Order: sequence, then C-alpha cells, then structure tokens
Amino acid sequence: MSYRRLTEADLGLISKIPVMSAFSKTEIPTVIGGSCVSVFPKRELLFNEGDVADQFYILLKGRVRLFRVLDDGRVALFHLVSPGEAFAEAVVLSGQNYPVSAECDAESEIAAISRFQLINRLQRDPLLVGRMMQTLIERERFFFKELNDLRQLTPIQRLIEFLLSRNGEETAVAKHIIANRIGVTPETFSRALRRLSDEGLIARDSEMSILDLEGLQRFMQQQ
Amino acid sequence: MTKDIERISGVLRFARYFRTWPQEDILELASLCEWVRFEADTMMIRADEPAEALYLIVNGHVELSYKDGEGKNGVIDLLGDGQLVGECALAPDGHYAVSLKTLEATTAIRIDGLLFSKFLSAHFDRALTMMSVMTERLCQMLRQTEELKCRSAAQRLGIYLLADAVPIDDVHETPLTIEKSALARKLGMTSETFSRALKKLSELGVTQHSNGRIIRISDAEMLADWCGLSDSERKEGQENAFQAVI
Repeated sequence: MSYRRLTEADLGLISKIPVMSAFSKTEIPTVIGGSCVSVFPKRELLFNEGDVADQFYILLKGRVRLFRVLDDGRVALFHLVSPGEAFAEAVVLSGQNYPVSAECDAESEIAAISRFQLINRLQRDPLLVGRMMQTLIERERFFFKELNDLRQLTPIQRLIEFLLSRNGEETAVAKHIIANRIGVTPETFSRALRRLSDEGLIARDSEMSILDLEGLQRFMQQQ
Repeated sequence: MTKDIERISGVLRFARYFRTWPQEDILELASLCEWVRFEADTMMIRADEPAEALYLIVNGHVELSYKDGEGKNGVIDLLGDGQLVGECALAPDGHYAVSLKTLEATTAIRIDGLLFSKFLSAHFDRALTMMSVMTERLCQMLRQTEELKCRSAAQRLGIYLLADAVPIDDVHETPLTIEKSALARKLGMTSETFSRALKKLSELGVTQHSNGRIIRISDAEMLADWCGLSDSERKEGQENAFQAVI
C-alpha cells in the first residue's frame, strides 16, 4: 500500500458525500488524517467483521465489497461500494464493531476518517450532528428499498433492476458477484440471463449490454 | 392525544433506546411527547408525507410497508412493543420513507420531531446514542437482508419460532400472537409458502396445537441446527437467544 496527497478532484467527490457534506472543502483535509489517500496495488482486506470500528472510509477509485462469511462457508455479499461512496460511517458513529468485512479491488484508492477525530470535531460544532443523522436516515432508506426488493421482486425482476441501475455504464462484473448481490443462486441467475437474451433484450456478452431498453422495462412490468 | 409526563417518562426509561439516559433528560424528553391511540387498520404514518413525529410503540402490532417507484406497497416488517419508528422526523424537512398501519388497536408515544431534534442539538451525548439507535436499526436490516438472501422460507420460520419459544417440560412452545397471514408478510413470504414451510418443519418435530395458536417444538437444538444457526447466535443461558438472529 502507498499513499498520495488529496487532490482538488478528491475534495470535490468527498464534499458530495452526505456524511462529509457538513464540512467545507478547506475543513475536509483536517478531518481526513494527514490529508492522505491510501492506494492499494492489489486486492486487500480493509477490515474484518467484528473488528473495532475505529475509522470509516470513502472510496475514491476502484471497488470495495462488503460481505459476511457464513458459518457454512458461504459468502453473503451486501454491497458493492462505488467511487464517491462512504462506508462504515454508521457503526463508527455509534462506536460499535464492524458488522461486515470489507475487501477492496486492486488499484483502489481510499480515504479513511478516524472516529477519534470525527467525535472531536462534532463536539466542537453541534450543527454537524444533524447532518450526520441525515446520513443515517438516507442509509435506512437504502435498506428499506433493498428489503422491499428482496421480498417483492422475482429473481428476473431483480436482475433487470440491476441492469437498469447501471445507467449505461456497462462495466464487466463477475456474474457470481451480481448473483450474490441480488440474492439469487448462480443457477437461477443463469436461467434469468438466458431468458432475457432469448427475448432479445440483452446481449450474451460479458457486460450483459442492454439491446432493447424499452423492451426490458416493459418486460419488468409484465413479470 | 393526552399528555402525562410522569407516566410517559416511566415508559421511556425502560425503552431500550433511552434506558441509559439520565433521569433529567428522560423527563425533558417526556415533555416533548404525548400518548396516542389508534384503532386497528389505521394508517399511523404515510410514505412521502412530511415526517413530523417519531413513535414508540407501547402496546400493539404495526405493519411497516415501503412504496416502490410505481406506487405499490410491499410489507417489509412487522413491529411490536418497544420499537421506535419515524427517525426521519429528526431531519429538517424530512419525509417518511415508509408507511405504518396498525394491525390491532395500538398505543404509542408520539415524540415531536422538531422539538426532539432541538433537544438533541443541545445534548451531544444523547445525540450520539440516537445515532447508535439508528445504526443498530441499520445492522438489523442488514441481518434481515442476509436472512432473505441465504435462508429458505422454512429456515426463516424456524428461527422466528425459536426466538419466542419457551421451555415447557421436555419441549418448547411458541404462542402465535399475530395472524399467520401477518406473520407470513413479516417473514417475506406468501401465505401459501408459509403453509409449505410449516409442513416442512413438521418433519422436524414442529407441530400445531390449540387451533394453530400454539406451536410446539420437540427438539429446539435440532431445529436450530437445521436452521443453520451458529453457536454464537444461540449462546446458552442468554435470554431470548434466538431473538438476536431475526
């Protein structure tokens, strides 16, 4: 792992994150210890489930997986963190342990914020507390939607929703990772993919490119 | 709606969200609250409406539902005594993300969102504990998504039954305090799937008694194993050991 200094582009990205939006661009470097960004040349575990949550993270480049290893050895993937997203901020605020493990892809760039520094800063400016609560509320909304999707949508609808959520950014993500993310078995995932490609809605390429956007949206409604 | 600071503070001090608060803070919080009572099938809060208050359920069951992009409502949880809802009322100009409907006559404590928000601004330590409450809720939701992704309907039902089971002689019994259809919705399954799950569990010694109001578990340890619960999820001697899992 190496380090680099925060750039203006980093500050722009960080200031858009709800949990950090309470801070001005000049304040952000003081909250991020040493104004440094960690650069991970290879895949690396950032923290383990159960570790003391003493810092939270902001992903600037690359990808991070939040997951749990179940007792039977299966891995449950909870979230794929994208650049510009913060993670573990909620548990850091409450002083709990990390409820999941986190692993970053190679070439990921991440800024870390320590709990100690954050609490000190909050104590000096109570208005920031309200902003932090806002972040937790937004995260709760994410989970409401996630729970609703898992309960109400069929596997094929979940896959379509995932494909539509990419907004044209069709980067290749391993299919077993997507299957885990939307909560279906690899077999069910393969069947759903085959059905969508048989209908001519998506391509049989690694990016699962959308061939007929309107058709895909219509197909989603009909399920 | 009635205001009764002494009785309200008596309830608040035993609610798990506030039990670590000093007495003077509990009393101050109670002054921002009032009793509310809703008949069965009443909408307590509606998604997208301005969030003006939080509610602590004192007695009764309520259904939490989420409205998707097309306006369809889907039940995502069933809440009961001692649970707090409506934290979005703490955000300025916040709107409820979910709807809340009573399944039976329900008594709750209504906490004014704006006043509570001001209170928290003036009490840093209490604000941190509220953040902790909200974080705990997030962790619980994370666990629910894990359950939905990784456990079958019968396993989820088994875990629910184990959570409320009480030992009676050589067996465990679980009283069903809510309708089976409501329980099915809580667990994220249809009534048909619920029936199939119950049939599957009957092969593991789970039987219905008193017109289905009592569920008897002949071997709780075996059921826990079958449901895939780890030792850490069912520590011996821990009260409501399985409750933590659901």
